Amino acid sequence: MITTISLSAFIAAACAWMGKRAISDHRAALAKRKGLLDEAARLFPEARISFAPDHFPILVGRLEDGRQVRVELLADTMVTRRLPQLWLRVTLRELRECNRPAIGALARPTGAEYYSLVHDLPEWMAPPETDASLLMRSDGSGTTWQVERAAMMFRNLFSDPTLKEAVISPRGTRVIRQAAQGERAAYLFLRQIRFAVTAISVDLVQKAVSEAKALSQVLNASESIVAVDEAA
Amino acid sequence: MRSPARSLPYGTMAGIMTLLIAATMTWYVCSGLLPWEYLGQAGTPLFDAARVTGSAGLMVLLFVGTMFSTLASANGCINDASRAWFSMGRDRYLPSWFGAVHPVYRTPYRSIVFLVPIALIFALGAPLDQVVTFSILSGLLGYTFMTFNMVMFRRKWPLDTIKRGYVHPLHPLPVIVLLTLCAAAYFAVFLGYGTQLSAMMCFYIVASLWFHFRRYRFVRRGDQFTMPWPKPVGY
Repeated sequence: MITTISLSAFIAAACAWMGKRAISDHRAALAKRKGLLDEAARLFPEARISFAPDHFPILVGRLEDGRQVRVELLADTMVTRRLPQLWLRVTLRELRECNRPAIGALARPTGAEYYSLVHDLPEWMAPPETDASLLMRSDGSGTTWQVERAAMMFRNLFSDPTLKEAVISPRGTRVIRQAAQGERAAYLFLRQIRFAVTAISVDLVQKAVSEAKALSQVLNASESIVAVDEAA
Repeated sequence: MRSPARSLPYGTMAGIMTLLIAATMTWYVCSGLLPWEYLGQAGTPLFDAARVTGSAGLMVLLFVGTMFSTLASANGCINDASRAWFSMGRDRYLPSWFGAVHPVYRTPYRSIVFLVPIALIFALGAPLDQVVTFSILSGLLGYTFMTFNMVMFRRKWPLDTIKRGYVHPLHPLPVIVLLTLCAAAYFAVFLGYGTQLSAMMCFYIVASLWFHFRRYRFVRRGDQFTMPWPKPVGY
């Protein structure tokens, strides 16, 4: 009898302690998320930071030429047997709609990339040769020259394995890069998502913005070759 | 994976050896403590064996071990299974309704909400040995299909047509061994659990027919095939 009562009391106390600890950990994790893009905000004059429903920050700023840049963070736990990923998504919005096709590439596709634009494009295309498997799709309106230019750009960009997606569309461009990887022990033991980052590096955001700018120019040039290296 | 040629055989052999040693030790100890006729019918054979020893420490250890294994199963049922349904929903193998992501928690919440009651029914409403048998038979079916897949894969993309990280040695000998082992397991299962085996086969045949005649028209074919490989032989 005493053993049963003791065991019940121990289980109740353990559950209460675990519940309290889980709530405080969750609140601390949410609070930690809010400052992730504070340093990157210095890249843009008059940058604004708002917060997504999952408490990750959204940074909106403008380039010197007035184009809007939107920097977001996405936690991705959708692929089984892979550590959670924190993606940095940079969207560059053009001042006016450009006369160019929508064309994009996604590295190592699994089908579970809910944040991807490439999966929504209708036409499947032969991707450039890279070390990683690549899914390349478009809206089907591009000329052969445009497709070749975009493929050449993608081949250079995706030589970096931390790049996940690159998209060109009439309204803007988008780049998705790996910002952090979840802690292994927390994920394997209880499928928890913990990222050991307190701030997203300014260099990483700068690099993604440069790539978005390069993508924006690649189909605008006529004969002059856009140096793809400037994206790197 | 840094070196598939090394990691694949190493991981496979390490997994098999761990399982064989742990399972053999468990069976040896338990059948030494209790008659096998009892163990075969018991709902909690390990715990019963621990009780026979009269050791409170061993019972607590088994309790803690049971909690960990329950957590592992819950992880599988809630997290991994829901993500499999999420992916199948996005590829239209299942209704796309399952492919939604929760805006706050970034989880496949519809798949989770749908699958948790099913997991609870299996956990609480069905006899444990039946559930385990169904689960193991489903795995066995997966291994059986693996043999046909390996043969078809090698025929469609023969050696030197694609860059391989790992080449299956002595092909098709491993396939023949695996198929023989699967056949032996089916026969053994039939002797003890013939009804469950028939029920499982009926379930999967009906599910396959539904998929072939109804669901497959919605599937976005080719979306999953993204490897930069040449066309397979015969296409």
